[in-house]
Amino acid sequence: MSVIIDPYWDSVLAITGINVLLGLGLYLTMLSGQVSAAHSALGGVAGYLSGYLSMEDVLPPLAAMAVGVVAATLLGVVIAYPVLRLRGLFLAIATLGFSSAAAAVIVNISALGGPAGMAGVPIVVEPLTIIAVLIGVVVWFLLFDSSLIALSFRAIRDNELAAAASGISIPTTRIVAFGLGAFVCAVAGSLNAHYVGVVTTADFSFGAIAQQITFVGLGGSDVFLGPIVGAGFFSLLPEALRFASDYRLMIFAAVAIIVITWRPQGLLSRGMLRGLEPRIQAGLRKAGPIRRRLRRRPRPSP
Amino acid sequence: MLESHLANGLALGGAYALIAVGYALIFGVLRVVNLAHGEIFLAGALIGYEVSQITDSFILIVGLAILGAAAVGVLIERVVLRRLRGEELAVLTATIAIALLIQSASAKLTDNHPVPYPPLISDTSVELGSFAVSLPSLVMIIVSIVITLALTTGLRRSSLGRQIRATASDEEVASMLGVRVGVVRTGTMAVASGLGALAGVLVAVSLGSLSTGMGEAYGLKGLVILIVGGMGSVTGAAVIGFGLGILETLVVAYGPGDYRDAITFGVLIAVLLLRPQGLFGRAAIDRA
Repeated sequence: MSVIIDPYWDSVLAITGINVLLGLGLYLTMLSGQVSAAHSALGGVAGYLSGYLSMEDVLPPLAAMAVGVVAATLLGVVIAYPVLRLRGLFLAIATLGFSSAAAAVIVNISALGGPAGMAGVPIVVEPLTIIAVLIGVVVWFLLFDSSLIALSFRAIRDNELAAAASGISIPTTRIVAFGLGAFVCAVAGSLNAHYVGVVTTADFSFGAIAQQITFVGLGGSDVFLGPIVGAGFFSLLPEALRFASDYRLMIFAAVAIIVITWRPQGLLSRGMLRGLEPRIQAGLRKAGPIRRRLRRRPRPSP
Repeated sequence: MLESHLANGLALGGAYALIAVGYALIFGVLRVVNLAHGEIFLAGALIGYEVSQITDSFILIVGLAILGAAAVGVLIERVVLRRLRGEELAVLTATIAIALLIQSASAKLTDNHPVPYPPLISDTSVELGSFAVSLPSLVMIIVSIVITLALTTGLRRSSLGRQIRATASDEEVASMLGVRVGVVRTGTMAVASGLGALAGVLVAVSLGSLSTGMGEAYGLKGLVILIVGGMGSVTGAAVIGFGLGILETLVVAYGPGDYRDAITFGVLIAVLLLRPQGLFGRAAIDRA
Protein backbone atom coordinates (compact mmCIF):
# COMPACT_ATOMS: atom_id res chain seq x y z
CA MET A 1 0.00 0.00 0.00
CA SER A 2 1.53 3.24 -1.05
CA VAL A 3 1.23 6.12 1.38
CA ILE A 4 0.63 9.68 0.20
CA ILE A 5 0.80 11.64 3.44
CA ASP A 6 0.16 9.38 6.41
CA PRO A 7 -2.46 6.66 6.97
CA TYR A 8 -4.90 8.99 8.72
CA TRP A 9 -4.86 11.78 6.17
CA ASP A 10 -4.80 9.23 3.37
CA SER A 11 -8.14 7.89 4.57
CA VAL A 12 -9.52 11.44 4.84
CA LEU A 13 -8.30 12.03 1.29
CA ALA A 14 -9.90 8.80 0.04
CA ILE A 15 -13.27 9.58 1.65
CA THR A 16 -13.14 13.12 0.29
CA GLY A 17 -12.34 11.74 -3.15
CA ILE A 18 -15.31 9.37 -3.07
CA ASN A 19 -17.59 12.14 -1.85
CA VAL A 20 -16.41 14.43 -4.64
CA LEU A 21 -17.16 11.67 -7.18
CA LEU A 22 -20.65 11.24 -5.69
CA GLY A 23 -21.18 15.01 -5.84
CA LEU A 24 -20.04 15.16 -9.47
CA GLY A 25 -22.31 12.27 -10.42
CA LEU A 26 -25.39 13.89 -8.95
CA TYR A 27 -24.35 17.26 -10.41
CA LEU A 28 -24.31 15.70 -13.86
CA THR A 29 -27.91 14.51 -13.51
CA MET A 30 -29.05 17.72 -11.83
CA LEU A 31 -27.63 19.70 -14.72
CA SER A 32 -30.63 18.43 -16.67
CA GLY A 33 -32.97 19.63 -13.91
CA GLN A 34 -33.48 16.22 -12.31
CA VAL A 35 -32.90 16.20 -8.55
CA SER A 36 -32.42 12.48 -8.07
CA ALA A 37 -32.44 10.71 -4.74
CA ALA A 38 -31.52 7.41 -6.39
CA HIS A 39 -27.90 8.13 -7.22
CA SER A 40 -26.41 7.44 -3.82
CA ALA A 41 -28.31 4.14 -3.80
CA LEU A 42 -27.10 3.31 -7.33
CA GLY A 43 -23.56 3.71 -6.02
CA GLY A 44 -24.56 1.30 -3.27
CA VAL A 45 -25.94 -1.17 -5.83
CA ALA A 46 -22.62 -1.11 -7.70
CA GLY A 47 -20.78 -1.68 -4.43
CA TYR A 48 -23.00 -4.58 -3.41
CA LEU A 49 -22.80 -6.26 -6.78
CA SER A 50 -19.04 -5.94 -7.29
CA GLY A 51 -18.47 -6.85 -3.64
CA TYR A 52 -20.62 -9.96 -3.93
CA LEU A 53 -19.13 -11.10 -7.24
CA SER A 54 -15.56 -10.74 -6.01
CA MET A 55 -16.26 -12.28 -2.58
CA GLU A 56 -17.85 -15.35 -4.14
CA ASP A 57 -14.88 -15.61 -6.52
CA VAL A 58 -17.13 -15.34 -9.54
CA LEU A 59 -14.91 -12.67 -11.01
CA PRO A 60 -11.57 -11.05 -10.15
CA PRO A 61 -12.12 -7.76 -8.26
CA LEU A 62 -11.41 -5.48 -11.20
CA ALA A 63 -13.82 -7.30 -13.50
CA ALA A 64 -16.38 -7.41 -10.69
CA MET A 65 -16.09 -3.63 -10.28
CA ALA A 66 -16.62 -3.16 -13.99
CA VAL A 67 -19.69 -5.40 -13.95
CA GLY A 68 -21.03 -3.56 -10.89
CA VAL A 69 -20.60 -0.19 -12.55
CA VAL A 70 -22.22 -1.29 -15.81
CA ALA A 71 -25.13 -2.95 -14.02
CA ALA A 72 -25.79 0.07 -11.77
CA THR A 73 -25.63 2.40 -14.77
CA LEU A 74 -28.15 0.25 -16.62
CA LEU A 75 -30.36 0.21 -13.54
CA GLY A 76 -30.10 4.01 -13.53
CA VAL A 77 -31.38 4.08 -17.11
CA VAL A 78 -34.20 1.70 -16.17
CA ILE A 79 -35.23 4.01 -13.30
CA ALA A 80 -34.93 7.13 -15.43
CA TYR A 81 -37.52 5.84 -17.87
CA PRO A 82 -40.63 5.60 -15.63
CA VAL A 83 -39.86 8.88 -13.82
CA LEU A 84 -39.68 10.80 -17.09
CA ARG A 85 -43.09 12.32 -16.44
CA LEU A 86 -42.10 13.57 -12.99
CA ARG A 87 -40.37 16.83 -12.26
CA GLY A 88 -38.88 18.73 -9.37
CA LEU A 89 -39.75 17.48 -5.92
CA PHE A 90 -41.94 14.69 -7.28
CA LEU A 91 -38.98 13.20 -9.08
CA ALA A 92 -36.83 13.56 -5.98
CA ILE A 93 -39.36 11.79 -3.80
CA ALA A 94 -40.14 9.01 -6.29
CA THR A 95 -36.43 8.24 -6.54
CA LEU A 96 -36.21 8.43 -2.75
CA GLY A 97 -38.91 5.77 -2.75
CA PHE A 98 -36.74 3.61 -4.99
CA SER A 99 -33.76 3.97 -2.63
CA SER A 100 -35.77 3.17 0.48
CA ALA A 101 -37.55 0.21 -1.13
CA ALA A 102 -34.25 -1.16 -2.45
CA ALA A 103 -32.71 -0.87 1.03
CA ALA A 104 -35.69 -2.65 2.58
CA VAL A 105 -35.27 -5.52 0.10
CA ILE A 106 -31.48 -5.82 0.45
CA VAL A 107 -31.69 -5.91 4.25
CA ASN A 108 -33.83 -9.05 3.89
CA ILE A 109 -31.40 -10.91 1.61
CA SER A 110 -29.15 -12.99 3.84
CA ALA A 111 -26.60 -13.62 1.07
CA LEU A 112 -25.92 -9.89 1.10
CA GLY A 113 -25.31 -9.84 4.84
CA GLY A 114 -28.70 -8.53 5.94
CA PRO A 115 -28.93 -5.41 8.12
CA ALA A 116 -25.30 -5.72 9.28
CA GLY A 117 -24.02 -5.28 5.74
CA MET A 118 -21.60 -7.41 3.78
CA ALA A 119 -18.09 -7.61 5.26
CA GLY A 120 -14.99 -9.17 3.76
CA VAL A 121 -15.03 -7.53 0.35
CA PRO A 122 -11.45 -7.86 -1.00
CA ILE A 123 -9.62 -4.56 -0.51
CA VAL A 124 -7.91 -3.70 -3.76
CA VAL A 125 -8.41 0.05 -3.89
CA GLU A 126 -5.92 2.48 -2.34
CA PRO A 127 -6.37 6.19 -1.68
CA LEU A 128 -4.03 6.84 -4.59
CA THR A 129 -6.33 4.86 -6.93
CA ILE A 130 -9.30 6.96 -5.86
CA ILE A 131 -7.41 10.21 -6.42
CA ALA A 132 -6.22 8.99 -9.82
CA VAL A 133 -9.76 8.08 -10.88
CA LEU A 134 -10.99 11.43 -9.56
CA ILE A 135 -8.41 13.32 -11.61
CA GLY A 136 -9.49 11.37 -14.68
CA VAL A 137 -13.15 12.21 -14.06
CA VAL A 138 -12.34 15.90 -13.50
CA VAL A 139 -10.42 16.03 -16.77
CA TRP A 140 -13.41 14.45 -18.49
CA PHE A 141 -15.67 17.08 -16.89
CA LEU A 142 -13.40 19.86 -18.21
CA LEU A 143 -14.02 18.57 -21.73
CA PHE A 144 -17.67 17.75 -21.12
CA ASP A 145 -18.63 21.09 -19.60
CA SER A 146 -18.45 22.93 -22.91
CA SER A 147 -19.86 20.11 -25.02
CA LEU A 148 -23.12 20.12 -26.89
CA ILE A 149 -24.50 17.44 -24.54
CA ALA A 150 -23.87 19.60 -21.47
CA LEU A 151 -25.54 22.46 -23.29
CA SER A 152 -28.62 20.37 -24.03
CA PHE A 153 -28.78 19.30 -20.35
CA ARG A 154 -28.76 22.94 -19.29
CA ALA A 155 -31.29 23.81 -21.97
CA ILE A 156 -33.92 21.37 -20.73
CA ARG A 157 -33.26 22.42 -17.14
CA ASP A 158 -33.79 26.10 -17.95
CA ASN A 159 -36.74 25.79 -20.30
CA GLU A 160 -38.09 22.48 -21.45
CA LEU A 161 -40.44 23.93 -24.04
CA ALA A 162 -37.78 26.06 -25.68
CA ALA A 163 -35.37 23.14 -25.64
CA ALA A 164 -37.91 20.87 -27.31
CA ALA A 165 -38.64 23.56 -29.87
CA SER A 166 -34.92 23.70 -30.66
CA GLY A 167 -34.93 20.02 -31.54
CA ILE A 168 -33.62 18.56 -28.29
CA SER A 169 -35.29 15.26 -27.45
CA ILE A 170 -36.30 15.66 -23.84
CA PRO A 171 -36.77 11.98 -22.93
CA THR A 172 -33.46 10.93 -24.48
CA THR A 173 -31.55 13.80 -22.92
CA ARG A 174 -33.04 13.17 -19.50
CA ILE A 175 -32.25 9.46 -19.66
CA VAL A 176 -28.69 10.16 -20.83
CA ALA A 177 -28.21 12.65 -17.98
CA PHE A 178 -29.59 10.19 -15.45
CA GLY A 179 -27.43 7.34 -16.77
CA LEU A 180 -24.21 9.39 -16.98
CA GLY A 181 -24.68 10.58 -13.41
CA ALA A 182 -25.43 7.04 -12.30
CA PHE A 183 -22.24 5.88 -13.99
CA VAL A 184 -20.07 8.34 -12.02
CA CYS A 185 -21.85 7.44 -8.76
CA ALA A 186 -21.47 3.72 -9.52
CA VAL A 187 -17.73 4.21 -10.00
CA ALA A 188 -17.63 5.94 -6.61
CA GLY A 189 -19.69 3.16 -5.01
CA SER A 190 -17.58 0.27 -6.28
CA LEU A 191 -14.34 2.09 -5.42
CA ASN A 192 -15.69 2.64 -1.92
CA ALA A 193 -16.69 -1.01 -1.51
CA HIS A 194 -13.21 -2.25 -2.39
CA TYR A 195 -11.52 0.47 -0.35
CA VAL A 196 -13.45 0.03 2.91
CA GLY A 197 -14.06 -3.72 2.51
CA VAL A 198 -17.61 -3.47 3.83
CA VAL A 199 -20.85 -2.66 2.00
CA THR A 200 -23.93 -1.56 3.96
CA THR A 201 -27.28 -0.07 3.15
CA ALA A 202 -26.04 3.25 4.55
CA ASP A 203 -25.70 4.45 0.94
CA PHE A 204 -29.46 3.93 0.53
CA SER A 205 -30.37 5.94 3.63
CA PHE A 206 -31.97 9.32 3.67
CA GLY A 207 -28.86 10.61 5.43
CA ALA A 208 -26.55 9.61 2.57
CA ILE A 209 -28.93 11.01 -0.04
CA ALA A 210 -29.34 14.25 1.88
CA GLN A 211 -25.58 14.52 2.16
CA GLN A 212 -25.13 14.06 -1.58
CA ILE A 213 -27.74 16.72 -2.37
CA THR A 214 -25.96 19.02 0.07
CA PHE A 215 -22.66 18.57 -1.81
CA VAL A 216 -24.28 20.05 -4.90
CA GLY A 217 -26.60 22.54 -3.21
CA LEU A 218 -23.89 23.94 -0.95
CA GLY A 219 -21.13 24.05 -3.56
CA GLY A 220 -23.21 25.24 -6.49
CA SER A 221 -25.27 23.34 -8.99
CA ASP A 222 -24.32 25.22 -12.12
CA VAL A 223 -20.56 24.72 -12.41
CA PHE A 224 -18.77 21.43 -11.89
CA LEU A 225 -16.36 23.12 -9.49
CA GLY A 226 -19.43 23.57 -7.24
CA PRO A 227 -19.92 19.94 -6.16
CA ILE A 228 -16.14 19.57 -5.82
CA VAL A 229 -16.03 22.50 -3.41
CA GLY A 230 -19.25 21.37 -1.70
CA ALA A 231 -18.09 17.78 -1.18
CA GLY A 232 -14.65 18.98 -0.11
CA PHE A 233 -16.22 21.39 2.38
CA PHE A 234 -18.52 18.67 3.68
CA SER A 235 -15.71 16.12 4.05
CA LEU A 236 -12.92 18.32 5.33
CA LEU A 237 -14.65 20.83 7.62
CA PRO A 238 -15.66 18.18 10.19
CA GLU A 239 -12.00 17.08 10.17
CA ALA A 240 -10.85 20.64 10.69
CA LEU A 241 -13.33 20.93 13.56
CA ARG A 242 -11.98 17.82 15.25
CA PHE A 243 -10.79 19.91 18.21
CA ALA A 244 -14.46 20.65 18.96
CA SER A 245 -15.05 16.87 19.31
CA ASP A 246 -18.70 16.34 20.20
CA TYR A 247 -19.87 19.65 18.83
CA ARG A 248 -18.23 19.43 15.42
CA LEU A 249 -21.28 18.13 13.56
CA MET A 250 -23.42 20.83 15.14
CA ILE A 251 -20.93 23.55 14.23
CA PHE A 252 -20.68 22.13 10.73
CA ALA A 253 -24.45 22.11 10.28
CA ALA A 254 -24.70 25.67 11.57
CA VAL A 255 -22.00 26.81 9.15
CA ALA A 256 -23.82 25.05 6.29
CA ILE A 257 -27.10 26.81 7.18
CA ILE A 258 -25.35 30.19 7.25
CA VAL A 259 -23.58 29.53 3.96
CA ILE A 260 -26.72 28.48 2.11
CA THR A 261 -28.77 31.37 3.52
CA TRP A 262 -26.06 33.77 2.49
CA ARG A 263 -25.56 32.24 -0.98
CA PRO A 264 -28.75 30.44 -2.10
CA GLN A 265 -27.13 29.54 -5.43
CA GLY A 266 -24.36 27.70 -3.63
CA LEU A 267 -20.82 28.86 -2.98
CA LEU A 268 -19.91 28.93 -6.66
CA SER A 269 -22.12 30.00 -9.51
CA ARG A 270 -21.61 30.47 -13.21
CA GLY A 271 -22.28 34.18 -13.02
CA MET A 272 -19.78 34.59 -10.25
CA LEU A 273 -17.02 32.71 -12.05
CA ARG A 274 -17.77 34.55 -15.28
CA GLY A 275 -17.82 37.87 -13.48
CA LEU A 276 -14.53 37.09 -11.79
CA GLU A 277 -12.59 36.43 -14.98
CA PRO A 278 -12.92 39.79 -16.75
CA ARG A 279 -12.45 41.59 -13.46
CA ILE A 280 -9.09 39.91 -13.02
CA GLN A 281 -8.09 40.60 -16.59
CA ALA A 282 -9.28 44.15 -16.41
CA GLY A 283 -7.39 44.69 -13.22
CA LEU A 284 -4.26 43.34 -14.85
CA ARG A 285 -4.56 45.64 -17.80
CA LYS A 286 -5.63 48.53 -15.58
CA ALA A 287 -8.34 49.09 -18.15
CA GLY A 288 -11.25 48.63 -15.79
CA PRO A 289 -12.43 52.25 -15.51
CA ILE A 290 -12.11 52.94 -19.23
CA ARG A 291 -14.06 49.81 -20.19
CA ARG A 292 -16.80 50.60 -17.74
CA ARG A 293 -17.12 54.12 -19.11
CA LEU A 294 -17.34 52.75 -22.63
CA ARG A 295 -20.04 50.35 -21.60
CA ARG A 296 -22.04 53.04 -19.81
CA ARG A 297 -22.05 55.49 -22.74
CA PRO A 298 -22.59 53.67 -26.00
CA ARG A 299 -21.43 55.57 -29.07
CA PRO A 300 -24.37 57.62 -30.43
CA SER A 301 -25.60 56.23 -33.69
CA PRO A 302 -25.14 58.54 -36.68
CA MET B 1 -57.32 -10.19 17.07
CA LEU B 2 -58.10 -8.12 14.01
CA GLU B 3 -59.71 -5.39 16.12
CA SER B 4 -56.62 -4.90 18.24
CA HIS B 5 -54.39 -4.85 15.15
CA LEU B 6 -56.66 -2.21 13.68
CA ALA B 7 -56.45 -0.20 16.91
CA ASN B 8 -52.65 -0.41 16.92
CA GLY B 9 -52.67 0.57 13.26
CA LEU B 10 -54.83 3.58 14.07
CA ALA B 11 -52.40 4.60 16.82
CA LEU B 12 -49.41 4.36 14.47
CA GLY B 13 -51.44 6.08 11.77
CA GLY B 14 -52.38 8.84 14.20
CA ALA B 15 -48.70 9.68 14.66
CA TYR B 16 -48.20 9.58 10.89
CA ALA B 17 -51.26 11.79 10.36
CA LEU B 18 -50.11 14.42 12.87
CA ILE B 19 -46.72 14.61 11.15
CA ALA B 20 -48.15 14.52 7.63
CA VAL B 21 -50.71 17.30 8.15
CA GLY B 22 -47.75 19.42 9.26
CA TYR B 23 -45.95 18.68 6.01
CA ALA B 24 -49.13 19.42 4.07
CA LEU B 25 -49.77 22.73 5.85
CA ILE B 26 -46.19 23.84 5.28
CA PHE B 27 -46.24 22.77 1.66
CA GLY B 28 -49.63 24.32 1.04
CA VAL B 29 -48.79 27.74 2.45
CA LEU B 30 -45.02 28.09 2.10
CA ARG B 31 -44.66 25.99 -1.08
CA VAL B 32 -41.61 24.21 0.31
CA VAL B 33 -40.97 20.70 1.50
CA ASN B 34 -39.46 21.10 4.93
CA LEU B 35 -37.03 18.20 5.15
CA ALA B 36 -36.37 19.16 8.78
CA HIS B 37 -39.97 18.39 9.77
CA GLY B 38 -39.08 14.87 10.96
CA GLU B 39 -36.44 16.39 13.18
CA ILE B 40 -38.99 18.85 14.58
CA PHE B 41 -40.92 15.76 15.69
CA LEU B 42 -37.70 14.51 17.30
CA ALA B 43 -37.05 17.92 18.86
CA GLY B 44 -40.52 17.86 20.44
CA ALA B 45 -39.87 14.48 22.02
CA LEU B 46 -36.47 15.68 23.15
CA ILE B 47 -37.77 18.88 24.75
CA GLY B 48 -40.45 16.81 26.49
CA TYR B 49 -37.72 14.53 27.81
CA GLU B 50 -35.63 17.39 29.14
CA VAL B 51 -38.67 19.01 30.81
CA SER B 52 -39.63 15.67 32.37
CA GLN B 53 -36.28 15.69 34.22
CA ILE B 54 -37.47 18.80 36.08
CA THR B 55 -41.19 18.31 36.51
CA ASP B 56 -43.72 15.49 36.46
CA SER B 57 -46.60 17.60 35.21
CA PHE B 58 -48.00 16.04 32.05
CA ILE B 59 -49.50 19.33 30.87
CA LEU B 60 -46.21 21.18 31.38
CA ILE B 61 -44.19 18.52 29.56
CA VAL B 62 -46.46 18.35 26.52
CA GLY B 63 -47.11 22.10 26.52
CA LEU B 64 -43.45 23.09 26.65
CA ALA B 65 -42.58 20.50 24.00
CA ILE B 66 -45.20 21.97 21.66
CA LEU B 67 -44.21 25.57 22.39
CA GLY B 68 -40.51 24.81 22.09
CA ALA B 69 -40.89 23.04 18.76
CA ALA B 70 -43.19 25.80 17.49
CA ALA B 71 -40.51 28.32 18.40
CA VAL B 72 -37.95 26.30 16.44
CA GLY B 73 -40.34 26.22 13.49
CA VAL B 74 -40.87 29.98 13.62
CA LEU B 75 -37.13 30.49 13.78
CA ILE B 76 -36.61 28.28 10.70
CA GLU B 77 -39.27 30.22 8.78
CA ARG B 78 -38.11 33.68 9.79
CA VAL B 79 -34.37 33.21 9.56
CA VAL B 80 -33.92 30.70 6.76
CA LEU B 81 -36.96 29.94 4.59
CA ARG B 82 -37.98 33.59 4.20
CA ARG B 83 -34.63 34.39 2.60
CA LEU B 84 -34.76 31.42 0.26
CA ARG B 85 -38.12 31.92 -1.43
CA GLY B 86 -38.23 30.38 -4.88
CA GLU B 87 -34.84 28.70 -4.46
CA GLU B 88 -35.88 25.04 -4.48
CA LEU B 89 -32.46 23.46 -4.20
CA ALA B 90 -31.34 25.97 -1.57
CA VAL B 91 -34.43 25.15 0.52
CA LEU B 92 -33.67 21.43 0.28
CA THR B 93 -30.04 22.00 1.25
CA ALA B 94 -30.89 24.38 4.08
CA THR B 95 -33.57 22.15 5.60
CA ILE B 96 -31.24 19.15 5.33
CA ALA B 97 -28.60 21.15 7.22
CA ILE B 98 -31.19 22.11 9.85
CA ALA B 99 -32.15 18.44 10.19
CA LEU B 100 -28.48 17.58 10.65
CA LEU B 101 -28.15 20.29 13.31
CA ILE B 102 -31.10 18.94 15.32
CA GLN B 103 -29.95 15.34 14.83
CA SER B 104 -26.44 16.03 16.05
CA ALA B 105 -27.76 18.03 19.01
CA SER B 106 -30.02 15.09 19.87
CA ALA B 107 -27.14 12.61 19.52
CA LYS B 108 -25.11 14.78 21.90
CA LEU B 109 -27.93 15.08 24.45
CA THR B 110 -28.77 11.36 24.42
CA ASP B 111 -25.14 10.17 24.14
CA ASN B 112 -26.14 8.46 20.90
CA HIS B 113 -28.14 5.80 22.72
CA PRO B 114 -31.88 5.34 23.06
CA VAL B 115 -32.92 6.86 26.38
CA PRO B 116 -35.85 5.51 28.43
CA TYR B 117 -38.80 7.88 28.16
CA PRO B 118 -40.81 8.72 31.27
CA PRO B 119 -44.15 6.83 31.33
CA LEU B 120 -46.30 9.96 31.21
CA ILE B 121 -49.32 7.77 30.45
CA SER B 122 -49.42 4.54 32.45
CA ASP B 123 -48.94 1.53 30.23
CA THR B 124 -52.11 -0.28 31.20
CA SER B 125 -54.42 -1.90 28.72
CA VAL B 126 -57.99 -0.80 28.31
CA GLU B 127 -60.72 -3.37 27.59
CA LEU B 128 -62.96 -2.21 24.79
CA GLY B 129 -65.56 -4.93 24.51
CA SER B 130 -63.91 -7.89 22.81
CA PHE B 131 -60.39 -6.54 22.57
CA ALA B 132 -57.81 -4.55 24.53
CA VAL B 133 -55.70 -1.52 23.62
CA SER B 134 -52.84 -0.02 25.59
CA LEU B 135 -53.69 3.33 27.15
CA PRO B 136 -50.93 5.29 25.34
CA SER B 137 -52.23 3.96 22.01
CA LEU B 138 -55.77 4.92 22.92
CA VAL B 139 -54.65 8.45 23.84
CA MET B 140 -52.77 8.69 20.56
CA ILE B 141 -55.84 7.59 18.57
CA ILE B 142 -58.19 10.01 20.32
CA VAL B 143 -55.79 12.98 20.24
CA SER B 144 -54.90 12.49 16.57
CA ILE B 145 -58.50 12.03 15.43
CA VAL B 146 -59.70 15.05 17.39
CA ILE B 147 -56.87 17.22 16.14
CA THR B 148 -57.10 16.25 12.48
CA LEU B 149 -60.88 16.76 12.55
CA ALA B 150 -60.50 20.12 14.31
CA LEU B 151 -57.85 21.13 11.81
CA THR B 152 -59.81 20.23 8.70
CA THR B 153 -62.95 21.93 10.04
CA GLY B 154 -60.95 24.89 11.28
CA LEU B 155 -59.37 25.34 7.86
CA ARG B 156 -62.85 25.55 6.31
CA ARG B 157 -64.79 27.42 8.96
CA SER B 158 -62.56 29.71 11.00
CA SER B 159 -61.26 33.08 9.86
CA LEU B 160 -57.67 32.01 10.36
CA GLY B 161 -58.34 28.84 8.39
CA ARG B 162 -59.75 30.87 5.53
CA GLN B 163 -56.72 33.15 5.63
CA ILE B 164 -54.44 30.13 5.49
CA ARG B 165 -56.33 28.69 2.52
CA ALA B 166 -56.36 32.05 0.77
CA THR B 167 -52.61 32.38 1.19
CA ALA B 168 -52.13 28.83 -0.07
CA SER B 169 -54.18 29.40 -3.19
CA ASP B 170 -52.84 32.82 -4.16
CA GLU B 171 -50.52 34.78 -1.96
CA GLU B 172 -50.64 38.01 -3.92
CA VAL B 173 -54.41 38.22 -4.06
CA ALA B 174 -54.66 37.20 -0.40
CA SER B 175 -52.35 40.00 0.64
CA MET B 176 -54.32 42.50 -1.45
CA LEU B 177 -57.46 41.42 0.37
CA GLY B 178 -55.83 42.24 3.68
CA VAL B 179 -54.48 38.89 4.76
CA ARG B 180 -51.21 39.38 6.60
CA VAL B 181 -49.38 36.83 4.54
CA GLY B 182 -46.15 36.98 6.51
CA VAL B 183 -47.99 36.27 9.77
CA VAL B 184 -49.91 33.41 8.15
CA ARG B 185 -46.68 31.83 6.92
CA THR B 186 -45.04 32.06 10.33
CA GLY B 187 -48.22 30.90 12.06
CA THR B 188 -48.53 27.90 9.76
CA MET B 189 -44.97 26.90 10.53
CA ALA B 190 -45.67 27.24 14.27
CA VAL B 191 -48.84 25.12 14.11
CA ALA B 192 -47.25 22.43 11.94
CA SER B 193 -44.20 22.23 14.20
CA GLY B 194 -46.37 22.10 17.33
CA LEU B 195 -48.36 19.18 15.91
CA GLY B 196 -45.12 17.41 15.04
CA ALA B 197 -43.89 17.89 18.60
CA LEU B 198 -47.13 16.54 20.06
CA ALA B 199 -46.74 13.44 17.89
CA GLY B 200 -43.12 13.18 19.01
CA VAL B 201 -43.97 13.14 22.72
CA LEU B 202 -46.84 10.68 22.25
CA VAL B 203 -44.77 8.30 20.11
CA ALA B 204 -41.86 8.39 22.56
CA VAL B 205 -44.30 7.69 25.41
CA SER B 206 -45.86 4.71 23.69
CA LEU B 207 -42.47 3.34 22.61
CA GLY B 208 -41.12 3.97 26.11
CA SER B 209 -37.86 5.29 24.67
CA LEU B 210 -36.42 8.05 22.57
CA SER B 211 -33.73 7.60 19.93
CA THR B 212 -32.19 10.05 17.49
CA GLY B 213 -33.10 7.85 14.53
CA MET B 214 -36.84 8.20 15.03
CA GLY B 215 -36.94 11.69 13.55
CA GLU B 216 -35.73 10.42 10.20
CA ALA B 217 -37.87 7.26 10.26
CA TYR B 218 -41.13 9.07 10.95
CA GLY B 219 -40.16 12.09 8.86
CA LEU B 220 -39.67 9.89 5.82
CA LYS B 221 -43.09 8.27 6.29
CA GLY B 222 -44.62 11.73 6.61
CA LEU B 223 -43.06 12.64 3.28
CA VAL B 224 -44.51 9.53 1.63
CA ILE B 225 -47.96 10.42 3.00
CA LEU B 226 -47.63 14.00 1.77
CA ILE B 227 -47.06 12.72 -1.77
CA VAL B 228 -49.62 9.92 -1.75
CA GLY B 229 -52.25 12.16 -0.17
CA GLY B 230 -51.59 14.95 -2.63
CA MET B 231 -49.16 17.79 -2.00
CA GLY B 232 -50.71 20.33 0.33
CA SER B 233 -53.95 18.43 0.91
CA VAL B 234 -54.51 18.38 4.67
CA THR B 235 -57.46 15.98 4.40
CA GLY B 236 -55.44 13.72 2.14
CA ALA B 237 -52.52 13.73 4.57
CA ALA B 238 -54.78 12.81 7.49
CA VAL B 239 -56.64 10.03 5.68
CA ILE B 240 -53.54 8.51 4.12
CA GLY B 241 -51.69 8.84 7.42
CA PHE B 242 -54.23 6.67 9.22
CA GLY B 243 -54.41 4.35 6.22
CA LEU B 244 -50.67 3.82 6.08
CA GLY B 245 -50.53 3.09 9.81
CA ILE B 246 -53.20 0.43 9.46
CA LEU B 247 -51.59 -1.01 6.31
CA GLU B 248 -48.19 -1.29 7.97
CA THR B 249 -49.61 -2.88 11.11
CA LEU B 250 -51.58 -5.43 9.09
CA VAL B 251 -48.54 -6.24 6.93
CA VAL B 252 -46.52 -6.90 10.07
CA ALA B 253 -49.32 -8.95 11.62
CA TYR B 254 -50.38 -11.08 8.66
CA GLY B 255 -47.98 -10.49 5.79
CA PRO B 256 -44.24 -10.34 5.12
CA GLY B 257 -43.43 -8.01 8.03
CA ASP B 258 -39.77 -7.76 7.06
CA TYR B 259 -40.85 -6.09 3.86
CA ARG B 260 -43.00 -3.44 5.59
CA ASP B 261 -40.93 -0.50 4.38
CA ALA B 262 -40.50 -2.00 0.92
CA ILE B 263 -44.29 -2.20 0.61
CA THR B 264 -44.75 1.37 1.88
CA PHE B 265 -42.31 2.76 -0.65
CA GLY B 266 -43.68 0.49 -3.36
CA VAL B 267 -47.09 2.08 -2.81
CA LEU B 268 -45.43 5.50 -3.05
CA ILE B 269 -43.79 4.68 -6.37
CA ALA B 270 -46.99 3.19 -7.77
CA VAL B 271 -49.03 6.26 -6.81
CA LEU B 272 -46.45 8.63 -8.24
CA LEU B 273 -46.43 6.81 -11.55
CA LEU B 274 -50.18 6.31 -11.86
CA ARG B 275 -51.50 9.47 -10.22
CA PRO B 276 -48.68 11.98 -9.73
CA GLN B 277 -50.93 14.59 -8.17
CA GLY B 278 -51.67 12.23 -5.27
CA LEU B 279 -54.92 10.55 -4.32
CA PHE B 280 -56.47 13.73 -2.94
CA GLY B 281 -54.63 16.28 -5.08
CA ARG B 282 -56.29 18.26 -7.81
CA ALA B 283 -53.68 20.61 -9.21
CA ALA B 284 -51.69 19.53 -12.23
CA ILE B 285 -48.10 18.97 -11.32
CA ASP B 286 -45.53 21.40 -12.43
CA ARG B 287 -41.98 22.17 -11.50
CA ALA B 288 -43.26 22.29 -7.96
